[in-house]
Amino acid sequence: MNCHTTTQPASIDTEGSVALIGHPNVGKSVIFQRLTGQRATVSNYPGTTVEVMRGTARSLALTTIVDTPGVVTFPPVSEDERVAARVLLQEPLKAILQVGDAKNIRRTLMLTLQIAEMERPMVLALNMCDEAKERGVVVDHRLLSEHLSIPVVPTTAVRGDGIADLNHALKTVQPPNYRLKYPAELENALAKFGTHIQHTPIAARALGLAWFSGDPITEEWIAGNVSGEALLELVALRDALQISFVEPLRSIIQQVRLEYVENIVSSALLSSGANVQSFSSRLSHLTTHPVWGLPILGLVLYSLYWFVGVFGAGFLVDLLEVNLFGSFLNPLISDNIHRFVPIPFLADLLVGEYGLWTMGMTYALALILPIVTVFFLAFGIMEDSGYLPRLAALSNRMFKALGLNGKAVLPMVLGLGCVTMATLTTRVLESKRERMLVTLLLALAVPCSAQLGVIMGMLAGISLTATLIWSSVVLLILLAVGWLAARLVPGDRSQLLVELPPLRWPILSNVAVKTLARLEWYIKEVVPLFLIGTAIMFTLDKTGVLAKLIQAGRPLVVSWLGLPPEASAAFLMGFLRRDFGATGLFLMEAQGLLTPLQVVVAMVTVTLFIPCIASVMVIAKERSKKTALAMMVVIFPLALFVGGLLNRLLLLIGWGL
Amino acid sequence: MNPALIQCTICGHTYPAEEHPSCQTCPLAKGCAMTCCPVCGFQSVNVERSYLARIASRVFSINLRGKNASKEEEKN
Repeated sequence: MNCHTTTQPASIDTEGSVALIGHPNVGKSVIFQRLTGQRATVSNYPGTTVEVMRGTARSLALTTIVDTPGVVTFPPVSEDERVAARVLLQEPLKAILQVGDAKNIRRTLMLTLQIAEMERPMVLALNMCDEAKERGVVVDHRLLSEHLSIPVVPTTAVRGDGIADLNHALKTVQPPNYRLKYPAELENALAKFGTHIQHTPIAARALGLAWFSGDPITEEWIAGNVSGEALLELVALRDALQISFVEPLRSIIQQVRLEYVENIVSSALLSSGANVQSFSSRLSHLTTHPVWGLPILGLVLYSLYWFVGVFGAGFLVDLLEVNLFGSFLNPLISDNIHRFVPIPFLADLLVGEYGLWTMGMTYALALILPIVTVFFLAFGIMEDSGYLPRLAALSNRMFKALGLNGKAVLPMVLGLGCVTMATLTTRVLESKRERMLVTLLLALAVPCSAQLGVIMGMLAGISLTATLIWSSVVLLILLAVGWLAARLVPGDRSQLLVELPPLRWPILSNVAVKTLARLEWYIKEVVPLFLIGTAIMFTLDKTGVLAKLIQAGRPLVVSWLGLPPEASAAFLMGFLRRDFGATGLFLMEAQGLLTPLQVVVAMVTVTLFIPCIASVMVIAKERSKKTALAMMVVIFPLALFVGGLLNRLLLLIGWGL
Repeated sequence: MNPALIQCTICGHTYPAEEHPSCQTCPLAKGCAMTCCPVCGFQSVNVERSYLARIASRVFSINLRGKNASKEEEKN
């Protein structure tokens, strides 16, 4: 079907661009980032609203990499595809780099043939080789390279595999030297077409095939580059050729390409993996299954509880708080402060009961830091493994009952990271109703990462039953309030479009970078706030206001919630940050001041409590001050009411006394 | 300086890290190493803004370059 021509290989010049072409979601952007080092200029392609990214290649001298929008079909149909076609036809390219999906070799090769016919230097990157291998798809890329007479480089861009080979191939790339044979009538017409067209940006033969296929971008180019008389002759040539065939010319051309692709595939595809459904694809299906997805979610949450609660809040906190801070650092610093700071007030401010070091820094570094570190690590693993989008898809189904499906689910999931930022992301929701509902639920019942870590740590110290009671009550309140609010505020729902990436083993470097960035952000935010909070508590204590507040809170905290009076101080700290308050309760539990019942009641109350001051500010800014105030008026008594009710219920059944 | 690009883990949208206007209204934006996807709102790490992440990614990319360089040497 093909015959190799004798085109002399010529090295490409050192100036110009390399265009990245490929179907959507084949990893073009990742390859672009690998080639350019994540640097790019983004601009609309002239005359369109389609964004095209350009960046300087790291390993190729004087070369710009152009990332084009994904192509589904050629001739182009959408505006994105037209832009990709324009780049191929009109840009001074020195090479084309096609990024193809190794799992979908037929579709990839159909595009390869069309690009190769342009007779421009080209390289094919067979990307996602790791996933192809998992699915049992094995391609002989050397044989493929021989068939197509172009370099074929297997890559796994997310891991950086094959990028060096790709750079090497791009340095020595040559135009392909094979030619498909089309039916005789079409070949004759292509020869005549060539006589009308001079100085074509791509091979005249490829331009002719695009013209006969009815490609609008080619028609546009030809109309601007040939005389009116020649254009009429070309139209007549196409019409005459069509008469020779029953089927449209485009189908005839595609049929020849398809046969050639089948020919290559039969020899180069060593295993199609048709009978192999990999473990990851089976698991991927199960994670979003309405029934099987739930036990998997349970398993994930249990692992999270064990990792964050038992390991982080138990083992690591013990190591830092008890051994390092409690036995070594705090006594050492306290002794020295008392020795070198003669003013008792100042010494108290630094290392007293509400001291900046003994409370602020110890809370931030010895108690919270180990917990959030393991939480961020776990979050990074869920994110990088591809489970998080699946969780969003699964939650989408679960939250339908609330009237909160679609995009509204995402901020709820994200709230587990930071409620403040999740509140900001509600602006991606299309209706005011959804923005309001999600903001309320976030403020009420979604604990942020730090608070969740502390809660898990406290509950893990009691029993799994305690964790189940806490999660059931919080979930029940979330569902009840959401359900009620959705009915009180009727309106439309926006759809959720989630791209499910393949489920894969997380990459250590990705997880490490994300965890470090989150930790740095957390330390920058939490340490100053904890110090401010401690200073406020210190002032309240010294002025006697704290004692009065504790006394005033006694009916609610002691009589209604059944907690020791000191818990009032923790709730006061919770106004600044919920995790600050939770840490106060964490320490009380560690000192044996709380029974299991009191821990569960305190945790439910603090979870449903008013969100941190930053969240309240964002709610006021994003919704309105009035809305923020209304929400706080609802949340504050509701949290106390539910906590007290739970206290009475548990007392009644005699649990955790 | 050209903006760094981020691909959203949830919806797959690729966007310049500094593009999202949410940061301008966020009280925690100062020193924040996160960025929100303009399409779905998911928070991703903006490596450029985090000192620790920058160091870590440099360490990992040095390793990567080392591997790639040795591969190229093998080829030649």
